[in-house]
Amino acid sequence: MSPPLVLVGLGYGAYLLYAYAAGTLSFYINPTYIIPTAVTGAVLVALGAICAVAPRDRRGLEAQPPPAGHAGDPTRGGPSWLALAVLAFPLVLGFGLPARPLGISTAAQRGVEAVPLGRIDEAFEFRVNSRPEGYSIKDWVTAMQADPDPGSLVGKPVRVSGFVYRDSRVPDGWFLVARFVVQCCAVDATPIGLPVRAADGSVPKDGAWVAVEGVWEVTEVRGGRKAVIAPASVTPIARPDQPYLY
Amino acid sequence: MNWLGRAQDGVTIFLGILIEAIPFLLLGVLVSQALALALRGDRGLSWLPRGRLGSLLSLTGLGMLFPVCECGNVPVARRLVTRGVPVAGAMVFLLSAPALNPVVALSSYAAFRDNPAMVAYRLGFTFLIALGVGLVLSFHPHPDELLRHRGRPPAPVEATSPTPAGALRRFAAAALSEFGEMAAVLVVGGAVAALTQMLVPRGVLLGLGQGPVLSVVVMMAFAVVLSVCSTVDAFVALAYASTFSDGSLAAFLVYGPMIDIKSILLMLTVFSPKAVVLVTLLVTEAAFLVGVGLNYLGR
Repeated sequence: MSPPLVLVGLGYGAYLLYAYAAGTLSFYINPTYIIPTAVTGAVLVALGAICAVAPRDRRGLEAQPPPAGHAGDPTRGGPSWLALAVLAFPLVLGFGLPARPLGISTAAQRGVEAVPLGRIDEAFEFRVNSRPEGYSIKDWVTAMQADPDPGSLVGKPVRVSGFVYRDSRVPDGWFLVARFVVQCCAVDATPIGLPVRAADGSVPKDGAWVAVEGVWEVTEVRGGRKAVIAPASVTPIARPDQPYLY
Repeated sequence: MNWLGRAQDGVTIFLGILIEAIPFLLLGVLVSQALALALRGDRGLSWLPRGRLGSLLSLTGLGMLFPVCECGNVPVARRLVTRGVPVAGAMVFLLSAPALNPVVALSSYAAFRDNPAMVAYRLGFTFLIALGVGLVLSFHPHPDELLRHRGRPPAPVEATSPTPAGALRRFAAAALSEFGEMAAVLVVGGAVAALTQMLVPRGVLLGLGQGPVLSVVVMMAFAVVLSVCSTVDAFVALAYASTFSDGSLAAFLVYGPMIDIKSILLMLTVFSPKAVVLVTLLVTEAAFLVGVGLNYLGR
């Protein structure tokens, strides 16, 4: 038996299954890939278990020359100790730290834009229809992309949730209610946000999750007409299980 | 600056790259191991055409059966040479197989779903460059000089048939060994990608990534240094999709599987240093032209 090989299979398999069972895979990847990832975890555990318990077959092994780039008989060799230390690194992080979705640090680093979704093809077919209360932040951003005139939004009811984000470009007394849009995994997450004008000027804490209900209005700010949500309520909420939009 | 929040987000991005990539890595390893078993001995090679172009074309397509990256393909290339396949054909296989296979097409599409032209660039230019290099080598007057050892290496001695339980164990161990080897490189590549995303200001990345020539040079150098397995390198490239030009990303995806530190070392186990230098130069020039050309055409 080669203990390192068994550890590679069992360690990586167990981590994927653990993240699946804990419901945290959606912090890292698009939900489309969650089931294939869990299956991968099960296969890795199975491969590790086979290495651990199946009897070694002595026949013919000695006759097989080691292929180039490999350490000979794979049932005896396996990764070097250096490779094992590298392989252990993500497992230490994955098991040792609490899973956490991307937050305001990445939003600040990537820059929250109102219309960053340059490659969303359906934007040109999207129009704000008569029942927009169910629209997500991404739907609204898509709508603004399709029709950049802020006047077309006036009076439309809004009900969205997201985290609070502010930077120097956001006027005083305003904040953005923001989410990340994920195509594939956290590495491509794009932060998007809708501007909200806090009714009494009190802005919730940066990074806090809130539900915002209100209507769109247009206001003059910094020399331009901007659409902004005039909220009827801004309610603190718990972070949703699926914090990203897809 | 909130360093704790930044570090936590860095961990999320790093684990995101790994979790997204591991299913594709394992799929590639399992299929490659199964096919390596199926193609033991002379089986599977008798159909190869003998003509220059036909042989090269069919060896370019052979990668469709071996969805693994460089390290898994070198033993197969060595086997091709021992079975009498021309040296140029073995090199064509080695250059094309890591990228020109279904698992890489699938993972590249998963990463670049919103920009599928990238998948077409990757497969199309890999095919053309591998075939072009093969044609150049096929006109070499003394092909044996391209091999590390003059004359052909001896054919490997085949193992006798193992028992079913032993065969299953060998399969599992070989798959995990290959998985561990490639996952270790992926961990390093994922860490570098996550660190650059978290530490390098977006303005600096945009400055490097938007120049039509500089961006291609940077991404090609990045591919050589990172040496990430081709089945999952698209997820690393994705980290730069919003800051680097399309041409530079295409150059990374085409060049990385053909030429990187790992593949050069592995190539040297079969081919002569002169042949490896020649191929490295040809592929580098071609990938550079592809990247820069796409950048100028896309303007």
